[in-house]
Amino acid sequence: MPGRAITLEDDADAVPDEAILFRRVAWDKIGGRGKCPPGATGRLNANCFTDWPQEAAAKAGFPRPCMSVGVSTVLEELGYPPEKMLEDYPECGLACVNAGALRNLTRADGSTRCPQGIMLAPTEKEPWHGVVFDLTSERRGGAAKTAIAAAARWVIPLVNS
Amino acid sequence: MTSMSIASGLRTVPRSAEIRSNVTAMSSREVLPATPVWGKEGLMSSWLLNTARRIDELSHLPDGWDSYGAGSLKEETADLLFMLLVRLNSVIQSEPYISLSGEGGLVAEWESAQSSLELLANPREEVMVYYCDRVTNHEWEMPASRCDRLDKWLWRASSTV
Repeated sequence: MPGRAITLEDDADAVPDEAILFRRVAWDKIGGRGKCPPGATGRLNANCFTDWPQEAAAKAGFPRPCMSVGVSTVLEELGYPPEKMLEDYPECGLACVNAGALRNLTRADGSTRCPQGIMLAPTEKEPWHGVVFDLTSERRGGAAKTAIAAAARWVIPLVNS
Repeated sequence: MTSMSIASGLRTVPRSAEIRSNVTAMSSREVLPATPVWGKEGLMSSWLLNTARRIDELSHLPDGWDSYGAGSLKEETADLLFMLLVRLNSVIQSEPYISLSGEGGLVAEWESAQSSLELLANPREEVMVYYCDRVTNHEWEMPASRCDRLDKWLWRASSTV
């Protein structure tokens, strides 16, 4: 993670609306393998799309909470498939959501906007790393997290095999 | 952690309670008491026992368990949520999905045809309620301590019908 203070600023040039944002999902984010019937796929929930805690965000140089993602355009430039993000985390699944969908995010009523900002934040280990942050509140609330979960889909699902 | 408080609570549940809350007892359509007696003679819902076991399971996960630097479960947070569930036992009709939050807290979720409800307990914070009426798509988010409709919402969201 970066060692200096970073300004969170939505960057549609570096992360265009067409970009796909990937996020790893662990079983214990979605209720555990035990709650998933044998052979079934786990259900993405709001808990999959939480920000880093304030302290962790600050340690990484961010002024407020934000959420880590992998950015498809950078992965592609580097010649990596999305699976690259699971190389060190074989126990995780991979979910994705379109950048444009996050910038135009609305709550369940379909009209109340809760737009998210997105920017690149490459790290030595993950040069495709980016962050997503709430543009309407300091910290992403339950409604926005739920809206992201509704817009998201599995790329590499967690299946209770 | 839960190994101390919750699991020790489990140990104090009388043997008779464990027997009466097993699958056989449930399948006989036993009507559970409105108020569970914790650590004394009495019954305990099978979902509550399962939830305690699930929390105990989650308490063994190390820092960084989600691949994004999430904190391990904090004992006081687990206790806070669990005691709230015990208190609301009489209006909860089904076992929640229990997940770890990124901040060392817990998330309990229910979803029915009518609504969904999430209780989020994070360290050093009040338990938060997120409720969505799936018929009207109206959403509410507030501290559990200020939610005077929590009983009704939990009843609806945990419905198995």
